[in-house]
Amino acid sequence: MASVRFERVSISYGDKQVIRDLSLTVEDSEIMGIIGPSGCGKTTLIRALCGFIKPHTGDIYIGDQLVFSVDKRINIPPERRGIGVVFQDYAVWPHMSVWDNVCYPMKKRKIEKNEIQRRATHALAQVRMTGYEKHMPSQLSGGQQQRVAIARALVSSSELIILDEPITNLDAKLREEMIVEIQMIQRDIGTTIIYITHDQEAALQLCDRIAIMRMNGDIAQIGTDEQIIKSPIDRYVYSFIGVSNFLPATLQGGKAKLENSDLVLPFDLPADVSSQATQDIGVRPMNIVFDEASPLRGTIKRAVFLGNQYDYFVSLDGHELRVERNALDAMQGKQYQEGDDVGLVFINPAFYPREVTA
Amino acid sequence: MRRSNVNPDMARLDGKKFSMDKFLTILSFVILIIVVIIPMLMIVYNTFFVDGRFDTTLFTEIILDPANVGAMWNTIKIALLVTVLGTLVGLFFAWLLGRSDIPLKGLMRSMFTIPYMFPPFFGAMAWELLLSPRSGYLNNWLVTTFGLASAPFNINSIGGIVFVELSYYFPFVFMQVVSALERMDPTLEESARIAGAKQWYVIRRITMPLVLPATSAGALLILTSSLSHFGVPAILGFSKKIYTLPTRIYQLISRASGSFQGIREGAALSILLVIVVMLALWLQKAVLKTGSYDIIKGKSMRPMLIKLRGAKIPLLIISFLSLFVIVVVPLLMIVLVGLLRAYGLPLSMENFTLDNFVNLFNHKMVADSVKNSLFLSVASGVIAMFLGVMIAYVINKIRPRGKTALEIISILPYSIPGIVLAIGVILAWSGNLGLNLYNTIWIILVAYIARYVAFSMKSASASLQQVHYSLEDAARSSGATHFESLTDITLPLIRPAMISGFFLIFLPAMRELTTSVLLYGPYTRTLGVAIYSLRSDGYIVDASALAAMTILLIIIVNAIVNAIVKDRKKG
Repeated sequence: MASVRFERVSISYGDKQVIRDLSLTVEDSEIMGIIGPSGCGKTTLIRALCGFIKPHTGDIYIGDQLVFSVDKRINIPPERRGIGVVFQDYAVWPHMSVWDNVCYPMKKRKIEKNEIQRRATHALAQVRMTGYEKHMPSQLSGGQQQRVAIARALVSSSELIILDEPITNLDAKLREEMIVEIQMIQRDIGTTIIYITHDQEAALQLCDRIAIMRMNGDIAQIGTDEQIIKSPIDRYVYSFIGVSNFLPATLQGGKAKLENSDLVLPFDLPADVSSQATQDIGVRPMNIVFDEASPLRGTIKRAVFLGNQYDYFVSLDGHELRVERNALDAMQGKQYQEGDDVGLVFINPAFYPREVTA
Repeated sequence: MRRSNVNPDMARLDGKKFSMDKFLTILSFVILIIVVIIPMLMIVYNTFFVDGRFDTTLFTEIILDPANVGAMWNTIKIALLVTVLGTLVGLFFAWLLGRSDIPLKGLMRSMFTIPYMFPPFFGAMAWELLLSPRSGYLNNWLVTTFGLASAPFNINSIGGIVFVELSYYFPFVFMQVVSALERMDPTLEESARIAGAKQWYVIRRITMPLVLPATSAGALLILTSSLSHFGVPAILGFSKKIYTLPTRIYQLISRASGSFQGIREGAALSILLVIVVMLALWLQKAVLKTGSYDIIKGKSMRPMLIKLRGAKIPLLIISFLSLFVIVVVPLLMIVLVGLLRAYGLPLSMENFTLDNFVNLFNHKMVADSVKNSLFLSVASGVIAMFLGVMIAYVINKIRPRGKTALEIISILPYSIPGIVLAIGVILAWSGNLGLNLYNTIWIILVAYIARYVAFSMKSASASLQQVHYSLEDAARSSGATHFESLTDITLPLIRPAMISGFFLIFLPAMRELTTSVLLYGPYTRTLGVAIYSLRSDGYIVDASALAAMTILLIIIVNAIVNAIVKDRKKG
């Protein structure tokens, strides 16, 4: 069981700074999700934690052990950091059988033979790969290789496991199962898990806490799934964790007026709204309700039936909004056609001061 | 994406002064500097410096000598003719096998690979036996049968040299173009046909431009090979005083019989040869812009085959006749003459005997040469293979600053004529720098390693690029040290490339002539040198018998290699 601490870590490739001044603590026995768009430096951060690249500045601790420090000139090599890693491309060694792949980390750590046997069998059972021991990786599907990689990481370390996009290649059902399985394993042995992904849904489902990274390599927000969903700290986080509409607005006398329009939104501003005049109002498609009584009127431009829900594209005085409606509601309630005039109600709109872009 | 040195000052953080990466990088540079750079520098130094002073008199004397200028023109003339004709022949066969419905393609293809296996000077020997103006078997037969006044063919001429080189070098273009044709998207041609273009128009305006990069790559290979070529002009040209730059260099050095002045003259002339080769490379680049088109795909597709209809049988006969002449006739000739009781006797059953072959085993020089060649091929194969793997690892995985320089140095000997390399090695390792290997087998070994390291480096590089770095990283995270991750993961994964790298060196080293002919001493003849010396001393039948034995040896080794490769594909 080990906590992980990044303290003011910066990493550059040549002139390009990938991670800037990042501090992050992962508690003992926690599942921490690190999510961010492709190319934001998630994998770079993890490679630094594993010891494959050296940061420019900062310290990294695993448990109480300082594994990397620029000031103290410490850099523990990867093989002595005791981390189990599932790589993005699985990195299952193609010249070794499934069994040899799983046993390799324990052989390198000089574990006794019977114990290796026992743990490898157990790990393969955990990822449901029992019976494939003699298979070569080329005989396995992508999903099966990924599970071998997970088994190999499990036997590699009981302290800290890093999963880099580990279940992206599994089909929906197996994905669900693996998420549950990872949670069970974690509860069983209490391993600390760092879970890297750009898929916010899987992260929200699996992780105790989530850190959301920005494109420029720092952390936008850290929090539990509830905190992040309920109160995204800024427009970036808001848009990253779900489909979102943004309406540009100006604040005037306690109300918000849409830009390029005379329309004043018919609701009061929340108490904690910032004083900046130009704001973006965020509202999720599922938080817009059709209500004939509402004074806020829009026109339905397009309606798409998606099986379990309807997607409407509604024009609100020139601004396009996406609205989601549960299929059951849509069928029981009033039917809307393209071209219909419709009343709208916003639930929980979020206000973010407009970022000034140069 | 991977950079090993995010922060170079912090290498020391690892606690060790030298990381393994650094050690491998430095070792690669040091070895390549010793085997490649020093010999090259020695040539330049000895040409332009006398007693430590800069002096161009030797170089100007050499390049103004009419004999040398004549040799240069011969070299260029032969190389251009071989390149143009070889490209045409190669393109013709490539089109025939890649795009027409001619039958027996498999058989023809395997015949095209045969010239690759044997040294061209064997072909020169065989054709001289057939078409030498005085005693060529075919010439004699034609003269007596048709009552001609003089021999109709003269192989000891520029034309003869071009013909023999041509028959060995056209497969370069053929192979490149055939594989490009196979990877070309057939819809490109089909859509032109659908748009109403005639067959010949499609070939001219669609197919030809698309295979231009492959053609030009093959032609370049022919051009540089022919410019540096020693064996054929040496066998066919010496008796008629037809010299090319490589044979002229050889003549300067052997005439001087070891005197330093002769070696310096050879060195100066080598610089001229290198300039000609470089000029050819540059010209080729300027004239034919090589670029690859995206429309050539990686996977093979079934192309539209052109129906030859009435032309099928005549084209088939022409193809097999030319293949018979190019491939079968020289091999047959070598074997038959090797069986003769004495040179000059008619090729008939009562004159055949196996004595020559039996005698080979009692011949001290021959036995030595077999031993030497086996030792040199195995040793240079193993050493250059590991060296190539190490350099490829440094270039592809460690990626230090200067990796481009490393790559260029390691493939430099590939484009430098073998005879030039030999002179560099003589200048560097016969006492000038404190180490005298002259007349020992080691000086040949050093030259072979320099000459062939590019082969295994390229083969290992291609294979290492397939080994994603996460495979090594996964081993590190599993508790393996850097060294263990190499021996447990990387090396086993590139083992097939290492094995083929070894044979890529072993086979050409077995029949090497150009470099060894300048480096051999009294007891260090190689197989190629032994055959060459037997022949120039007039032991034609013994030379032929030994050549036939060599051919047999090469065929056996090739069969073993193919068996290994096939086995691997199945498993």
